[in-house]
Amino acid sequence: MSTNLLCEAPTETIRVARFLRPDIREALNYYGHEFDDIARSDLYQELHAAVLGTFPEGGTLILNFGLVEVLTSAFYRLLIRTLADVRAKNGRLLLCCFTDHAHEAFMLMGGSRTFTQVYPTEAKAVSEVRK
Amino acid sequence: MTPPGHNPPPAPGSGRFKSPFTDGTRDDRLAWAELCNLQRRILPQIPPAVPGYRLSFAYRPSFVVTGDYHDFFRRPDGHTAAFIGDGSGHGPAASMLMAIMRTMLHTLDIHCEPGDTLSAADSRFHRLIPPDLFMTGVYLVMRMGGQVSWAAAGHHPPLWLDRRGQLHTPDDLGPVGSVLGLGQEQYQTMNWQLEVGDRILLFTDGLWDARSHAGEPFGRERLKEYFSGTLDHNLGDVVDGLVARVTAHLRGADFEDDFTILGIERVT
Repeated sequence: MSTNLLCEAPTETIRVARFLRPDIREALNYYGHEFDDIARSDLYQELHAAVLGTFPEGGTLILNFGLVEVLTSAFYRLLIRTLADVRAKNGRLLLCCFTDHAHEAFMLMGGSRTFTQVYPTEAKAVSEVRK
Repeated sequence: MTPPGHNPPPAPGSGRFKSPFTDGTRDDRLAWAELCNLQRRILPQIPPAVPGYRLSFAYRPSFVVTGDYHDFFRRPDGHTAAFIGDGSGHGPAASMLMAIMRTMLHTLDIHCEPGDTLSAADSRFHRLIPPDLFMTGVYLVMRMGGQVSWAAAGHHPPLWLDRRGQLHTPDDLGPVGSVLGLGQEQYQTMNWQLEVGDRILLFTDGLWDARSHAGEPFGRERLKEYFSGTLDHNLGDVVDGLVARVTAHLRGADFEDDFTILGIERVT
């Protein structure tokens, strides 16, 4: 499995995952097609192995989009699935550092209505959690 | 949390699995052809006659079948509504989403104000599909006298070009609600008053997100720029010209996604 994420645990309850490539479509698709279940994608598997599988009860996950330029519907599906996983642990999902392109796609999918905690920088997201 | 299984799907062949009509067995090809034909038969091939308006549309699946969905509805109040939407993903899986949405819009009594229609569709769609799938769409009602109302669910808002050449569209995307299928959205209805000669353009993301070999998308700005300069052309030529413009931008690259375009003009 290729590496698409850099994950850290700054505290016992905070997890930070940074996407490492501008275009991660290969890790979301197979042979150019979306998975029927996005949980079967390499990117979700990677996120699950690094973060979601051991996500603490009541924890916070911060996803950093600073390098992401292409946010497809498959990527958005992964976010929806991740949000459900985090909520199942009574946790919070924060998004940060959107590039202009990714933010445009995010807004066009009504993302700000579903993902209400979006921050310009990772530091601001972390400080919000620590309030 | 149970780790999901990681069972790779069966490899559908080499490359992008673009030619089911030439790969596979004869039975495979016939099955694809039947699916393709069925979808063509259930989708409108020509726009309806709508009093006071002229309509023109184009659509192109990137695969044999498409998640793009366009349709027209004669509402209980006598007005006509258009829906243009896009199921998440491409191909057969996405086509199932559009088929579910089509069934809902044709059989449920949910044709009211556009925002309320999408809220009702969202709620019902949520019960019918897996939680990581969704559909985007715009529902737009054309009333006599040029009153148009619409709501958007995870979908680019309509572009409105008035007869003086001024382009209107919500810049902040504030009226765009969540994608359909999450089951908890209250969508906003927008009302526009068109004058005779004003035009509206609806489209799916396969159009403005079509990418050249270099990965450059056609983009929303090019789309707006093109539409802004089309008042001197008839509506059908505007739609066809947009397809040609995007195709030229691709410079031989394949469309990676389906696209649909619907042009509407107030004529009386």
